[in-house]
Parts: sequence; C-alpha cells; structure tokens
Amino acid sequence: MSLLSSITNRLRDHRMLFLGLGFFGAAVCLGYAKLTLYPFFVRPEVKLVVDSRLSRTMALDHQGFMADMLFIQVSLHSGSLMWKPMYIDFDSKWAYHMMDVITDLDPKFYTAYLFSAMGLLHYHEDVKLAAPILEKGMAEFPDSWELPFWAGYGYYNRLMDYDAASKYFWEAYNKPDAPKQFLGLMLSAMQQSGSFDRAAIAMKAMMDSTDNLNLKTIYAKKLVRLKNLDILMKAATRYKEKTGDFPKTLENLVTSGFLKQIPDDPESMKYQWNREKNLPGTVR
Amino acid sequence: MLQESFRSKLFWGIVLFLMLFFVFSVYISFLSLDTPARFILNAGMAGLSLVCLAVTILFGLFSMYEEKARFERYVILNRIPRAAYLMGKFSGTVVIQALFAVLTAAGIFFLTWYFAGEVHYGIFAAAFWAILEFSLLMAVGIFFYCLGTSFPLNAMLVLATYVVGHSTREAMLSFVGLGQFGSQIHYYFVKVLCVVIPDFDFFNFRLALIHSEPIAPGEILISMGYWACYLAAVLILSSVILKQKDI
Repeated sequence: MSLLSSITNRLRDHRMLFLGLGFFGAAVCLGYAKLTLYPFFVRPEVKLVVDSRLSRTMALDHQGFMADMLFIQVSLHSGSLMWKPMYIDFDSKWAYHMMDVITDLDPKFYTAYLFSAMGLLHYHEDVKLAAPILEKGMAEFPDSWELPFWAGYGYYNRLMDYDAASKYFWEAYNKPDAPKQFLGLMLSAMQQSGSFDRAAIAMKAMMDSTDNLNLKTIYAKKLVRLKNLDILMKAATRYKEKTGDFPKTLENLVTSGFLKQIPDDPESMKYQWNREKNLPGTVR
Repeated sequence: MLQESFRSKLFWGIVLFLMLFFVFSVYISFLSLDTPARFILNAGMAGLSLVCLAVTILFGLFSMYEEKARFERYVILNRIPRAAYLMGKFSGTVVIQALFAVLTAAGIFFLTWYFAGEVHYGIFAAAFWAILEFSLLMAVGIFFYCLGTSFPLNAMLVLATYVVGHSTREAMLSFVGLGQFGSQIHYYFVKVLCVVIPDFDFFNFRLALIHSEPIAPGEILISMGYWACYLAAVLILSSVILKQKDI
C-alpha cells in the first residue's frame, strides 16, 4: 500500500514532466501519421536565379563559399550526384547561367569549367551555352589543354561543327603538356573542316610519337596525302577568290592555271572534288 | 576575461557550433565532384567568420554591458583610467577571438588533411586576417558602447557595420553601373560613405588562399596599415568620448 502511494506521489511530483513527454509522444505520432497519409513525392526543384554582383554582395566576401553552394545546387539539378526522375527536365539555360555566376564569383574554380564542358552537357545545343564559360576558363587558365579540348570535343561529337572543333583542338594541341592521345580526333576534325595544313602537322606529330615502324610508314603516306590535299585546297581557294565559286572538278584548277598538275597519291588513290562539302577528297 | 569565458556556457555553445560547422563542411565536401579540400576550406572560412562574429558580440560586447548592468564597471573605473578599461576589454576580446580563430583553423587544417589528403597552411593565414577583421569590428562595437547605446542596438549596429563593411566596394561598383541615374553629388556621397565606413575587403584574401596564390607584399602592408590606423582612430575616439561622459 505504501509502495503504491509512494509511486502515486512521485507521479504527482513529476506530472509536468510526464505532460511534456506526453505531448512529445503525440507530436511524434502526428509526424508518423503525416508520413503515412501523405507520402513523399519528388517535386520540381526551386531554381534560384541569381546575378553575379548581387551574389558577390550577399556572400560578404566569402565568394568561394557562395560559389560552392551554387555549384552543389547545379550539380544536383544536373543529376550528376544522385538519381533524378526523368520528368524533372534539365534546364540548360538556368544551369549555364548559374555556372556563369559561379565562375564570376570564383574565376579560378577549375572544376566548374570542366563540369560545364562535361557533366553538365545534356542536350546538343548545350555545347553553345558551355562555350562562353569555357572561353572564360581559357582566359583564366591559359596553360590548360583540357578546357579547349573539351570545348572542341563538344563541337565535334555533339554538333559536328568541325570548324569550331578543329579551332579548339588546335588550341589544346599547342598547350604545354597536352597529351598526344587526342591527335587522331583533332586530325579527323581538321580533315573534315578542310584545315589540311594543320592536319598535316598533327599527322607529323603522330608519326614522330610512335616507335612502330609499320605505323610510321602508314603515317608517312597519310602525311604526303594531307600535304597534297592542302595544295589542292589552297588552289581551290584561289580559284574561288578569282571566279567567285569553288571549282566543279579538280581538272578545272589545272585548265585555269591554278595548278600545274594534280599530284599523285602515295597509295594510288584518286583525288576528287567533293561538291557538297566543297573540299578535296580521295576515292579508289 | 579568458578564464571567465571558459566558465561561460556560451563558450562551450560556440565550441559546439564550431563542431557542427565542421560536420557540415565535411558533408558538403562529399557533394564537391572530387574537390573536397576546396569545399572544406571555403565552408571552414565561413564558419571562422561566424564564430568570430559571435565572439565579438556575445563575449566582447555582452560582457561590457553585463558589467554595466551589475554596476561592476564603476568599481573598476574607480581604480583604472577609462581608456585602460576600454583597452583591457578590447584586448581580452581579441585574445578570445584569436583563440577561436586558431582553433577553427586547426580543425579545418586537420579535416582538409584527413578527408581530402591535402595540406593547406593558408588556412592559418586566413585566421590571421580574420583576427584583424574582427578586432576592428570589436573596436567599432566599443565606439558604439561609448556613445551610450543599449546592447541590442549596439549588436544591430555592429552587424550592420559588418554587412556594409563587406559591401562597400560592390556598392561603389553598382553605383558606377547605375551612374547614369545619379548625379555627381550622389557619387561623392557614396564615395565618402565607402571611405568612412570600415572596409573589410582589405582583409579578404580568401580566394587567393584557397588557390594558393601569392599575395603581393604591398597589399599586405596596405591592409595592415589600414587596420592599424583605423583601429587606433576608433579606440582613441572611444576613449575621448568615454572620458567626457558622465557615468
């Protein structure tokens, strides 16, 4: 009897504590009920559009931290860090605007430039949105070969704009420490854009960088062909300057005196003028 | 003042906040796309500023107002000159600021090494510049104290000085950008404001420290000279005001 009364007394003493715990328990139950009644569903994200100067002011001289926070927002939106349902479309315009702000806040944020050219590309046209950001990066990091390479790769692979691609590849090739692995890609872009003189330089570099004698022989023949194509291209350009149009056949260049003769191909292929691309090429 | 602060719950509260900020900086470094050091350092430097701001207001200024409320100030001021009292309060706060700044910098240094495998001594330089920045802010708080403001008002004014002090250059740039809408008088008004209000941009070398870029000795000298002159001016003015005040 005395035990019961002592427990009752204790409960009375701590009634406020029990009341508090009771309310806490009720709050937990309500939280659980809400989760059960209204389960989670993914909503489109809130995409904050910020301006460079305003963000710099808001950062209170912690531009690096602000740039990091915005970068996380963009990389989450891009789906690079975690799964994202397909119905939440990637907003290229917003994402690239944010990358512009991020690189304004911290112009030395190298990963942000690389990410703009690689992970952030979702649609083919994104290459054009990435280009000004990469140009900004190239100005900040004049010795980096990666930035012009990825800019060129976007144009080559997604837009098939070989002029722009070969321009960027050439820039990357001329940087210190540029690896030779992308020479083949550069060569292809340059051939397709008609920059045979630069393509010949790339081929020469490929020839010099290999120890395989068979490969060296093949490259040497291709080098001669590229030099021939360069001669034909230059003659065709002079022809166009004079007549206002490219020649219909390569023989036109010889008959009109722009070329003494059509050069011989080292692999006995025939040179031919491609009227669709307005470039010289080879056929068997 | 340092011993008092060790006994204070607030001290340990700030230490706890600092620990949470360290956890936050490590967490966001996982979202960094392979640049964790940069994220830990940037978040750590933001934490460093927040902690120093908290120390300035909650330790430095609050202790002065507490002494005033408990009438302890009159006992002290009977024994020592008023200028010495201000200098004591200022130095005590700067010591606590320095303690927290070094503690934070050491924490960030360790986290950067442990989680990112990089050694960044630059964080200690960031702590040095933060000490200069927040000691100047403390001096501004002392100045407002001598003007007879209440603690809430002083805290607000110090916060406002901190925000405006970090935005003066941007304000100036914005004004130049909007120049076509303003007159010459507006222009000079903004310029005067920018020069009179402490310019904390002098102590902002954060990006240079993150990217391990060298800071020109000239810039360091100018920043330190600015700090010394501005600090001396504010502390001397505060002493003069407090000396003439009937307390």
